Amino acid sequence: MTELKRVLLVEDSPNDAELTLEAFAESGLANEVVWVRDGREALDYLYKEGTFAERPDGLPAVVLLDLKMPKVDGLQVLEQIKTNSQLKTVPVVMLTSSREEADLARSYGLGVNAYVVKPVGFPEFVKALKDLGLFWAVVNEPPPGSLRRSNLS
Amino acid sequence: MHPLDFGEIFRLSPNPYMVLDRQLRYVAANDAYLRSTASRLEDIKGRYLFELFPHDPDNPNNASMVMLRTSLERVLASRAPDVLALIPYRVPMNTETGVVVKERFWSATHVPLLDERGEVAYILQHTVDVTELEQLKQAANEAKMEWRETATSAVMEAGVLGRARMLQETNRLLDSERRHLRGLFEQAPSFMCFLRGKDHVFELVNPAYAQLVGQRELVGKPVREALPEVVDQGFIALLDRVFTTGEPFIGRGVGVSIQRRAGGPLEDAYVDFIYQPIQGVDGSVAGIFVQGHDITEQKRTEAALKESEARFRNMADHAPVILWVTDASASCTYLSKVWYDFTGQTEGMGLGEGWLSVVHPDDARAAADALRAATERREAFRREMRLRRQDGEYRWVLNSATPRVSPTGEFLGFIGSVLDITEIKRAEEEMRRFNQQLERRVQERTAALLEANKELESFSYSVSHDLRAPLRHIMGFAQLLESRSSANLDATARRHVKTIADAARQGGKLVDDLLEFSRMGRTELKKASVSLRDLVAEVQRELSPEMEGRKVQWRVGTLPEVQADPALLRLVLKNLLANALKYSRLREEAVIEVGASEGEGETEVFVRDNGVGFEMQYVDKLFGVFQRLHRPEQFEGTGIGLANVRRIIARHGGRTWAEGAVDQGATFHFTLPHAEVARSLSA
Repeated sequence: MTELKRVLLVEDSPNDAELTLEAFAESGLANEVVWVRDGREALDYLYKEGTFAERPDGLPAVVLLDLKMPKVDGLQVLEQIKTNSQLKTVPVVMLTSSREEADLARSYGLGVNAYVVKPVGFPEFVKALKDLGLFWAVVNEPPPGSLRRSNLS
Repeated sequence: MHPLDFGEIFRLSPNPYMVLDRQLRYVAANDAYLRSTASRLEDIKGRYLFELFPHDPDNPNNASMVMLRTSLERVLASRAPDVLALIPYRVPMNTETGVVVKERFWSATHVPLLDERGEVAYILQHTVDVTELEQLKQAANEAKMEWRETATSAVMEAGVLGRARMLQETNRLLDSERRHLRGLFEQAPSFMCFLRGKDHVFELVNPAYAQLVGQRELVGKPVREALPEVVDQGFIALLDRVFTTGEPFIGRGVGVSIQRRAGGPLEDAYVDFIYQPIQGVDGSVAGIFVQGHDITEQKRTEAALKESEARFRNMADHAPVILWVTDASASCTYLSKVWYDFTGQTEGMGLGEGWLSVVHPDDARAAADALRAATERREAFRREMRLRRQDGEYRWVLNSATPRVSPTGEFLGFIGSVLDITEIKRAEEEMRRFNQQLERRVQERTAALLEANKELESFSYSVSHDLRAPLRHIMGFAQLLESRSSANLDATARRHVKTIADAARQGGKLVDDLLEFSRMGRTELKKASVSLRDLVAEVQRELSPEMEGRKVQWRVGTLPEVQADPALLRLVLKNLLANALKYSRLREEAVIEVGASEGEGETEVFVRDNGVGFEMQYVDKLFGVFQRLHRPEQFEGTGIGLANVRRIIARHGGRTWAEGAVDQGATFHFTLPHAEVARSLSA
């Protein structure tokens, strides 16, 4: 019996979200991906608040976080996660178009676990996500209390 | 009673007497005299004494004659009697065998006979023949006579000669005193002379006087004759007045035109002098003693000083600046004309401390204090102050002064100048305002630039984020379309999908390169010592995939250490070497040279290839952003590489240039300044 770890994708662009999901599918990773549209929703999810008040308990195995988003941006979400005693153990990977040094420095300064620049080419993008998914959602052992989905079927 | 006949008494007197005139000619002689000299009156009257009785005709200047003449001259000069105690003198005498000239001894007294004016008119000689006495004395000494006789002669000698010797001694003392006085007279630095009589005859003249009048012959001549040029200058009249009134005359700084050299031209001389009347024995004025100083040099110096002062005044009054002078007590003693023109003060108002009244009330006390302090310290000073001009306007002036020092080093006060610096100050003020404005403008401009930079950064950020994203989306979905729906597409449609994906990829690369270029201009330079050789080797390794299946000959020369940012310099070399490889790939064997040379203050590096080269007329386009000389289907690229090279080298303070020709390869050069001249230049 394999337990697939849940992945939280925070992405404001539907195109990017779709491509990410497609890439996950293409790479054969069957983990459950929860997609939220902005930082506010991501925090609601993590804190089990608002529309996510009724979601099952547990934290995602990894958060894939876009940098630039409306309302609450990626860096703010990252800061919230890393300064919250309950959330700080959750691995966060920045998944972004920006390779700006300032963004990199700020992200690592806030305690990000990885920083990945989305490649322009789709095959490269698929490969990058596959590597990413494999590592964080399969290879890496998440902290205790992470949500797992039993693959009973 | 008959009155006494003095002529008869004279004639018959048993003592020998004779009378001489001033020229020492016989005027009279009595019988006794004629007897003792074996002469007759008619033979000697009117004749010169020494012509008749020369004592020794073979020696005209014999000692006895000189002794006698000196005594007579003394009488002439002193108008007092003179005594010769003992004088050996040969004169004729009657003997039994006739008249002979024999050595005889005499004792003589000379008495002056004065005329009504007190002048010596005649000299009366009374003489005693003491030959026998003398002979007796000599005989006594020679024959060692008996005691009694010796005693007798001694008593006689004591009686007559003793008195005569005393007289002679007195005379000797007088003579030495006279000589001493004469010496003083001769050596006196002031000029002196004695003018005798109403005609002012030069009787005595000292060397200083002789020098004053050009060493002319003076003695015995009246002034009128000796110094003809002064006759009409009032001096004779003065002398006449002193002579007749007996009142001395004192002249100070009197000018006289006189021949300073015999036969020379008339020269102006200045003298301080006294005409002192000298009274004779009878109380009347016998002559005038003249004494004085030649002050011509002193006068000349004074005149020169006066002239130089006048010149200074003239200069000072015509100088365009105000000049002033203070004394050692800081009191103003001179202000040049410009001061009075400027301030409207009069001379009486400005001198002393008066000048302070036209200094601005806020500056006056400090100005006075500064002058006093400088006077105490004897140091130059400079001070700006406001001065009220005649029209009431206060003008800024620069007052500066230096100490005046006498030739002996004594502090005399200050000489200073006052310069109107209002315009200069105004200009300075304007300049300052202008500079402030400029600075403010620079600040504004800098702020604007910083703002623009920030905007540019946020633009870059947007580009990186927002432009890359849609390109990625186009590519992603084109890919999905191709992989999921290719069965439903015909060949043309499939080709279009591929084109879409390629175009998006190229767009993405352009965006990446552009961002890289922008970053190149903004990242901080971190300079260090870098081995160019190691860096080239590293880049060669990195580019090895590009060389697969190709023949590439590398010629890498000796490469030095340079001062540069290692990461950025690496990017430069990577661009240049990659270009060299890229554009030589059509060659059967690519030859790529890398070399360096040391220039003045910089290292020059070149990369040469034997590739397709370029047309020199487009050389300027090579280093431009997105500028390409080849079509993408010939050689891929975005046209950013060389732009980056130029930007990086420029930021290091170096230069970049290229040479090439179509099909004959290309050479790219760049320079890097040596450490001491290297400075960071923002591109």
